[in-house]
Amino acid sequence: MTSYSFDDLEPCSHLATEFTGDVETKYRRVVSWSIARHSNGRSLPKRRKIAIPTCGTCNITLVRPFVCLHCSYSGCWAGSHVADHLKQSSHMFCVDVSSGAIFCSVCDDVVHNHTLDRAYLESHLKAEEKRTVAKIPREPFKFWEPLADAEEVSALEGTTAIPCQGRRGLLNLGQTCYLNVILQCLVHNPLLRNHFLGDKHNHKLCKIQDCACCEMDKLYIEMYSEDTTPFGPVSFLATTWRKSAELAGYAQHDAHEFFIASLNHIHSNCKGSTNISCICIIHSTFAGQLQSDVKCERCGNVTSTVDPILDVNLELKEKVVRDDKGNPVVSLGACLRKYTQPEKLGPKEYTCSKCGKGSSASKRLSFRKLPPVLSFQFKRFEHKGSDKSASARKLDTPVRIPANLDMMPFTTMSVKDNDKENTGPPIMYQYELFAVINHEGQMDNGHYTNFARFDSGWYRFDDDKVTHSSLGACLKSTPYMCFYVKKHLEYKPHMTPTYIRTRETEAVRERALEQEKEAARQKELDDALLATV
Amino acid sequence: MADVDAFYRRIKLRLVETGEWDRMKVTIGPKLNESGWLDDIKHKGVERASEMDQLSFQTLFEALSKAGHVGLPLPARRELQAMIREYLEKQFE
Repeated sequence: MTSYSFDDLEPCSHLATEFTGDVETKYRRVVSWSIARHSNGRSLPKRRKIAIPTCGTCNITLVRPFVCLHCSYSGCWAGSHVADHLKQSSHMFCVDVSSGAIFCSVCDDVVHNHTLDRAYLESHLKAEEKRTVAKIPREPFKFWEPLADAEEVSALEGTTAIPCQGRRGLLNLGQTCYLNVILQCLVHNPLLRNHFLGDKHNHKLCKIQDCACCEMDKLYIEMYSEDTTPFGPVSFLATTWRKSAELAGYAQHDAHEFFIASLNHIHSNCKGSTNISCICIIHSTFAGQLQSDVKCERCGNVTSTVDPILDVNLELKEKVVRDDKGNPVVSLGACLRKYTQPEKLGPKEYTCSKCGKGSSASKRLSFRKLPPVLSFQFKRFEHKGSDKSASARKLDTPVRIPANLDMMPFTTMSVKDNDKENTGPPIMYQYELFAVINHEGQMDNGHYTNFARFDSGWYRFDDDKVTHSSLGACLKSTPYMCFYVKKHLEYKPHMTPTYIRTRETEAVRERALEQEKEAARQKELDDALLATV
Repeated sequence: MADVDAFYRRIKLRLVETGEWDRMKVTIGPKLNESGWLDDIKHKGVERASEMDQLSFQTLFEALSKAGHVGLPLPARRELQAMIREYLEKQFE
């Protein structure tokens, strides 16, 4: 998600003054053109040929065109072709079509500022919207303009901005590192953060006992305050113990178990939460749908079931691939492919509803609906017996996770092989990594730590110790759980939630009833008076 | 040498015109991401940039291009070469 970044230390002054009018218009047109012409590797209808620009200097086909924003020249970056053109023609800017990056010939460098980011995002998204035939109507993208809304302007008046990065350690209250890592991942979750910092659940106004939402609200207030000393999440822990007996006590617990328990607690305390298509913050953030298609080998009949999921649990293949250096490595992609590959069911396990007798079938899982935040857990703890206390073994297989994940190949549409033409803008399926949980040691006596990202900065959290880190360090670590957030969110056209509408109609009805009662009482009084005359 | 250059240009044009270039990119791209090569370049870029006194795109670009070519994972390289070879064979059937 593009954040509102302030201009850098040495912004290109030319960008601030010259990126306007015709120059900006051409920029936007170039970005739109680049989206419109991309076939994305899909086979072209009727062997149609694409019109491609050629370099104005060396005439070669441009696979990565740099376009001058002041004239019709386009050229290669290599050999300084475009840079030379700019100098010779006294033209200032050229744009790299595929990334939207701008090169300023006066500064002799690639330059960037917030206005440019906005222009790129707006034209990119608008072009994608034009190309998409949506079955469900979507709200066209618009930047949030706080100054355009009078209500919001008055709300912002008299407020002071404070630094707000959530880089605060959590004290270990006695084997509670499992709690700390999950809390850090929740704190750095952009959707949850925005919800609670947006005062959507004010703990001072809530009357529910042991309310998990109140605990979250208090947690966010602490973590995003100006105090950077480590914070002890005592009341959060106490509430968790009271709500989930199995998590009580000072023994080490499984972070994933605590994660799911917390999600359920918070969901149950949210206003308007329901058991079917709930719109609480937890479900709005984490809920996805998994489709299971079972195909009878004999008659071809397919039975599909859709299950709601809050996260994805992946098996770690024992058989690993070896990389260039001969080290065993499993990738997230490989785990997802295994998760969504067809699985054979024997005749003993399956009876077809259509042709009756037991027959072999193939079962396949795919993602029907992708949540804004995708949580993955790698099943690293293998229990030998069905008894939880039986000796368990931990799989320490390193897993390679990408900073950017494309979930398109694992969606129901991709897997089913039809309607591939209208999958919508690719950005809908793209996710960015924002948190990773690591576990070192054995099942019973291990230690949890985590990495989390704020904007483009990565930090490592070890209970109360928070240190600057890097993407590289995070990806080198062995993940137990990892969290991805969608690059771009889509919205249905705005509609007031049902529970608010019901509340309002109830209020109107009550007022009408009150008026009737008043009128009746008045009439009784009048009649009584008349009787005495 | 001029012949080879002319050949290269013609083949490149055909690859792009027919959409084959895009198709190859879409096949290899995800593999480069999955192998960690893309993230490695990104990480190297951030590290180099943080060490530079005077940020310059061209300097970073040259350093990373070199590192990128060297560090290209073998399976991806082989697959891409095979795809190109297959395309060429089809063209000259």
